[in-house]
Amino acid sequence: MQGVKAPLIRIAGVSKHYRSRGSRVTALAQVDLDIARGEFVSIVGPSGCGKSTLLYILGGFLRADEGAIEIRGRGIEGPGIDRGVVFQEYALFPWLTVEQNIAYGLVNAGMERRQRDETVRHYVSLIGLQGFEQRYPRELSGGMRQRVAIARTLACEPDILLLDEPLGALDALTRETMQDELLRLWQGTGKTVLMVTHDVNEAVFLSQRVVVMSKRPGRIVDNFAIDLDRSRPREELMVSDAYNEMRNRVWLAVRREAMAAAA
Amino acid sequence: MTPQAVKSAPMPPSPWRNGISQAMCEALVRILRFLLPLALVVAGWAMLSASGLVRPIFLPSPLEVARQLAVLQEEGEILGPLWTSIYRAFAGLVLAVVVGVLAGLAMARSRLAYWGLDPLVALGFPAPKIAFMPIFILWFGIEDLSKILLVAFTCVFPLIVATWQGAIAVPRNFIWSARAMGTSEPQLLRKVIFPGTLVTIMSGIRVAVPVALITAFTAEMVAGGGGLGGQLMYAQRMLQTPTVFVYIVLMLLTGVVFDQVLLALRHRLVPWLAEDEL
Repeated sequence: MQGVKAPLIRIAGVSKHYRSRGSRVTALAQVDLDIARGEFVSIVGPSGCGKSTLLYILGGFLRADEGAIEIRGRGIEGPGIDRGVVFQEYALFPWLTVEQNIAYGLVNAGMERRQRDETVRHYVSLIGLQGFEQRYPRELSGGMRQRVAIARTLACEPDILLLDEPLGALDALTRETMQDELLRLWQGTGKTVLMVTHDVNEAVFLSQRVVVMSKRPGRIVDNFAIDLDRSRPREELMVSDAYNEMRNRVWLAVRREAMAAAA
Repeated sequence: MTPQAVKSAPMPPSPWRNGISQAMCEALVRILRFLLPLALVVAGWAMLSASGLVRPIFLPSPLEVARQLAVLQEEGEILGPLWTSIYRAFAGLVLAVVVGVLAGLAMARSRLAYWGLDPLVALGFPAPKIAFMPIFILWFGIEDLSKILLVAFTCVFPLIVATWQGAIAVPRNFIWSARAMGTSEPQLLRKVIFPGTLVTIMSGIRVAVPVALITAFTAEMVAGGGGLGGQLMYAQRMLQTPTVFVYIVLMLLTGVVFDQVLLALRHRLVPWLAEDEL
């Protein structure tokens, strides 16, 4: 999967510690992970295993205590518009309308008015929210909000998408619809995606590679290449033997870690 | 379809007039419902003074107070003092909002500002600010300035605290999202922290409004220098109880009007909030 070219993202020996009630907790221990350009990689693992921490370090919001992270061969200095981030919830600005939220990054980039309006229109129709442009996030359903959050991030045209349990707050049905949309977006744009999730089905359904992290201190214990024909419709894919075998293998690996965490 | 729409369907085309009268009816009912308990209190008051159990010098009848209001209005003793008091309370409040919001935001975003201001706020927040009145008179005179500054001094602490609390509670995800969408660290304050704090600032202002009025009136009562409070104390010394009541009623009404204006402004200032929030 990694090909011969240098990976887009190289995570080497990354560790992260923090202090909790005076004692030192290791959140991440010696994590190595390479991600190729255009790859869709998911991280799964028991809660509290540090998978989000890894995402935040990549986002430039937190610093690694040890190890190195390189994107296109260069270290990261804080957040950047080359990496778009979608959080689980509470990240849309409640004081901005749908339109203003999507335009937020474009305004920062200094895009001129006409082009901006056009871009916003494009993304509004991409997520199917025509007619909701002037609504505030409070007036939208959870699924709509998350679509706006994704559109807002895509509008900045990042090369890399960092998704932190982006569909975690949605009900099961909305979630499946959103997974389909996410898949379609990824296939259409060829962006590099790193997604944190606790849903094994979601990870296997969407990703080319699923990385399993151990309980704290988080380290990578498994790395599954998922080779599925994603041009097939969901109902076909999800009942196929190939899908289910893969899902079971990942699920067993996650379960092993979850049981170890509980013990 | 709403019941009104069904009813108006066979009528000649004037649904908008129907809609307006409907809204006016509802508003009227709401106002009446609000006024009824107040009317009951006034009625109780009228009955008490009509019963002769209390001497008018202690409790004049509502009618007597109303009559006195008309007399004072004739003599130009109403609007002048009223504006003086409102001006003092409002100017002090505006000053407190500007300073309090800036200080609160600074405390939330800068360690240095927090280090410098936190002890002062801890000391000033619970302090009885009216105790500074004599000093303020000494420094700033007996007229408007000392009272405006005392109002500002009293209101600034709840506003600092509200702003600071709102600003540190702005979700981390807002800040991180903004950063990932190209917002620089200095821009954060204006584009994320301030709008993210506006709701709590509005709540802080709503708490500060009565404080501003109380301080303005109290300062006038203690120090004189005109205004409703000054007039009230003057009438009290002359044993003009109806006049005292006139000024008390005016103070009550001022408070209600201030609060209602603020509530009306809220929809313009924080339009993203639902009706029942704040």
